[in-house]
Amino acid sequence: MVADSSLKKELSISEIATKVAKELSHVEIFDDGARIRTPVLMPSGRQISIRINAMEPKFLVSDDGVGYREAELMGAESNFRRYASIVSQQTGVQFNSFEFFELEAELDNLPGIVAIVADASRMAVQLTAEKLIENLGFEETAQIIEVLRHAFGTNRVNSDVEIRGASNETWHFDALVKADRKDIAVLRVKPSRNSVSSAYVKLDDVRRLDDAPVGVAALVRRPEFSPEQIILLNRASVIMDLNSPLRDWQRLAA
Amino acid sequence: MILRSDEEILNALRKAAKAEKRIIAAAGWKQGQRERELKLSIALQTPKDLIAGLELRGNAILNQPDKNVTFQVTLDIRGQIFRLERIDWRPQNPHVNRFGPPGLRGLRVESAYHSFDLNSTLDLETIVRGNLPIAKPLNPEPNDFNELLISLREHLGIMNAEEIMEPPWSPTLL
Repeated sequence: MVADSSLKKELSISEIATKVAKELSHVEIFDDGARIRTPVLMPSGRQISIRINAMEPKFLVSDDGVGYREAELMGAESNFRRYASIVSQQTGVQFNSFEFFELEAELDNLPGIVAIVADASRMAVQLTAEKLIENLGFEETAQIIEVLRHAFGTNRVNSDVEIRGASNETWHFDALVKADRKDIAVLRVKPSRNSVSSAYVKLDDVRRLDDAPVGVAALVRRPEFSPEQIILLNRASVIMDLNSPLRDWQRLAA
Repeated sequence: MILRSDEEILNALRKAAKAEKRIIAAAGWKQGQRERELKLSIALQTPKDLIAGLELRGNAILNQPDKNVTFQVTLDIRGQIFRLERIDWRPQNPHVNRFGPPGLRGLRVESAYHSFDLNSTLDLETIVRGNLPIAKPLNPEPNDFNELLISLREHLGIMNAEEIMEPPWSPTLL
């Protein structure tokens, strides 16, 4: 605890801020190195600690496998390895199947390297967690695929596709329909803040492509969406109710 | 029964969380993929409710006795494994509640109980993404592994939790 209410009256804001800063990180020294607990949080809320080992004249900085352990508790080790490799390429932080690490950190840059390694670990776990979410709602996905196959024909519908957006980031979509005029990229969206914001990012990135497909947000439980959520999705996509009649889906190709 | 909506999945998880559970096949601790990692997987039965697909999963570290132990109850719904409840005992890194009611949001917890009751106030996606992101302090804090097993009985509803073997810790091994 940082300060109880009785302390609050006695401490200045400067003292409170100093106390908070001290509580946000923590150092543990052991035989061959030290571990610094950072304020960076995993998606679960677990604080990330980073290990430092002196390797004269430089330092080894590692997440000590904390990201892998988080993924393991989620039952998502394989996906974690996949995303960790991507994060490693994007950030330059090395990854060895279990740990993110920097081998030759300079003393002067250690605070920054510690933050970079912690952030890489967090990013990989975040991507892993998002992948878990994509696998939820199997029934709705199956329903979307069935509707699309009825509307456009089985051969034109590919399920579970990856589409590279204008940012060069790759996004998962539930289906891609090969229509005559333009492809149609379909994404299942639920009436939750996370689902809407995640869908918006994907749809917006894909619609900025030169030869962009028609982006479709297929709403699960349409009545539960707030007007604000509809406005947001409408900026980046064509909105469809998952239960729309076939002819409405077929109009997408018109 | 084919579960279709998040609400139906949450109801199945709620029912499983409340059910009294018993260990039916206690396997021993095994080395995980990582050196020093110990894992345990135990099938659970719910004598009164007949819920299929329940498991207790344990994690410990070979050279870290009496700390860094996690137990979680999972439920298999049509091949997808959902985390129901979790106990973290003396973890290396504390947990901070990103969500939760006043008093719990922002709270930093060391040994923690991630109950389904607390987390079921969130939507299914948030529960899965954050792997049961709301916790409260594990109370009482177990002083040793045997007391941790008592917590498993009291919080996770595993009536014969004392049958679980202590991890084969070797403090001197690296």
